[in-house]
Amino acid sequence: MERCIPLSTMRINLFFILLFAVTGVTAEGSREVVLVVANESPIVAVSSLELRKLYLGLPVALQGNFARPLRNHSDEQLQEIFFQSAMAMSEAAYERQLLSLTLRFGRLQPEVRHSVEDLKDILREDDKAITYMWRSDIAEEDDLRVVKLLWLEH
Amino acid sequence: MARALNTLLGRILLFVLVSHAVLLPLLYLTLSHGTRVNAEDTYLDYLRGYSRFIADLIENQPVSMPDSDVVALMDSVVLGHDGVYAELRLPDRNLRSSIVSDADEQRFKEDFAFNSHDDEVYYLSMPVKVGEQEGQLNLGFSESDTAAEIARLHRQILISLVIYLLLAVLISIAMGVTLSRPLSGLQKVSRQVALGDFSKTLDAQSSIAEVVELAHDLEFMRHELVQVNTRLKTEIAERQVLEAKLRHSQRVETIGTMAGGIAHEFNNILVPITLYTNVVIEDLPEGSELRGYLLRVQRAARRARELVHKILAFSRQLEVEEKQPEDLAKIVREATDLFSSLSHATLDIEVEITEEPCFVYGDATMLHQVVLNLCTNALKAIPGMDGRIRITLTTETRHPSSALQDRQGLGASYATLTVEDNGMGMDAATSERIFEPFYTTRRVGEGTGLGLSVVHGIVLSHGGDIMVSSDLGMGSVFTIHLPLIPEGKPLLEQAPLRT
Ligand SMILES: Nc1ncnc2c1ncn2[C@@H]1O[C@H](COP(=O)(O)OP(=O)(O)O)[C@@H](O)[C@H]1O
Ligand SMILES: [Mg+2]
Repeated sequence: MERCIPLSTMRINLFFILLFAVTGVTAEGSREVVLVVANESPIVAVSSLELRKLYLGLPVALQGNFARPLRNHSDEQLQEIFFQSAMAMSEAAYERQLLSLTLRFGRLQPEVRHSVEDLKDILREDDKAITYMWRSDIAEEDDLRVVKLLWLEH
Repeated sequence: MARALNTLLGRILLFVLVSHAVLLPLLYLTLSHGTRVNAEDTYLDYLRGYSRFIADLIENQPVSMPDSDVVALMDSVVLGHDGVYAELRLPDRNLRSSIVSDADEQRFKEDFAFNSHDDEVYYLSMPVKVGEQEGQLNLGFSESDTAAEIARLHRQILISLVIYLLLAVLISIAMGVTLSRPLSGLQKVSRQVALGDFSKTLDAQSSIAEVVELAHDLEFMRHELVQVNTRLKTEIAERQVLEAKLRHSQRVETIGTMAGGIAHEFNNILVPITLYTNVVIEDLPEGSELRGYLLRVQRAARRARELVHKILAFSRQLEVEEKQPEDLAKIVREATDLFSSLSHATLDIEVEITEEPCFVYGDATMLHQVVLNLCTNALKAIPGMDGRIRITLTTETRHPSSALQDRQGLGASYATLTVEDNGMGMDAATSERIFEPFYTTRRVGEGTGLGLSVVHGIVLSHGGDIMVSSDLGMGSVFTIHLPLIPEGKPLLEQAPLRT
């Protein structure tokens, strides 16, 4: 009996394992969320206003091209960061705005993807596609490129 | 406790309390969660929008802002609404508001949801592009006002729900009372009805349709019950009277038959006694001792014959032959005259005879006997000197609805003869048996017990009936009914009389 690991200790261990798995914390430095396109994409810069318009479904020409925004639903925290730093509004307000703009202008809503690999594939196929993800997710990819820093861990 | 819960009021209260015990916490949780999320989201939207506005202000300058202007802007953010912390972090420098300290910087922990990190400050970070540099705008705003507002809203919801609960309890009490009051009223009356008190009506003082209908139905039932009950009571009473009469007349009949048989035999035995005694008396010289003895035998035999006749009169074996239409008024008058001339002067005899024609089909001598026997008994019942005997004769026409009279077989009209005295009266046990032959309460030698049985026999053989009502010490009333016949009608047309 005494040799058993107490349940609470096990829980804490499990918690940390999960935390590392979910947030993808790595040993090297602070995390970043970045806006990503394919290497051959004509898009080179996005202002914060353009970014907000883009993700509210409004037509935005970036360097003369109409970009195709993609939402990254692979990770809860990523979404929180997206709403706070990129959209500067709550999730509820974002959905509300999106709906009302869609109804007013009849625009398509940004597509939603749940897997990072999917997103990467779309970026590679469509050079107008643009999305956000952890910088760590594209560290290994040399055919994808960062357009803008969205968030930097403090 | 369990009994209180089994009342209407108890049940309603229990139901209201239980349902509210489930619903109110649920309602509270939903409402408070809703208001909290709403307030937090609103504040978050405001903070993010405001921060973005500040970031845009820095970003969208045609020429990048001098650092002093950025610091001034940061100061204005901290001084503004809920402002706590403000800095613009660039790769090469850090432009922080002059109002915040290094210690404040240590506290900066970025929030993504309201009320996280237990610091009552919402810290957030916005990416800013200043010239070619990527920077971070780090701002902090106090959460305490919004938290206080949320707490206030929660308190308000709680108070409203408590007031609501109290109101619900009050309303349910009122409802229970309005429901149960008319019901308990109904219950009280229906209990009285069950105990046999039908006097109160079942009426619900209520406007609730079901209760009113229930009261209506119960009242209908009570009404039916009352009617059935009274019908039953009169029927039972009638039956009891009839049964008593039947029992009585059967007994009298049996005794009469027996006595009649004995009297008949006796009469046969008396015939040779009387006959041969008379023969022997004729042959004996007057004044002889033997003749004296035989004269006594003759008297005794005559007395025996009278007795036998009385018995036969009672057993109605003397009827038929001498009957004819007779004026009952005349007979009663003669009999009472005879009686008053024989009785002593202190006796107050009152006679009241109707003027109406009063003809019966019968035997005058026998009817005479009836009046005399009744009067004699009355006289004997009066112990002192101040006695009063009242004899009345009236005629009546039968009331068509009286079922009782129908069964007595009396005709359409009949005479009522009453003999009333203020004597010692008799108890119920005595009056039960007085019509039996040889029943007497008098000492041996003083009464034969045949007087009333003879009266009974005569009245019955005339198609009438006789009743007595008496109480010990209260005097007695004998009532005789005799069927009347129309005056002077030929004999043959008379209906055969019941015996
Ligand atoms: N008017 C009366 N008041 C009280 N008792 C009476 C009356 N008439 C009759 N009785 C009772 O009825 C009994 C029977 O009466 P009855 O047949 O005339 O016989 P008797 O008179 O020879 O006793 C009497 O002994 C007496 O007790
Ligand atoms: Mg008598």
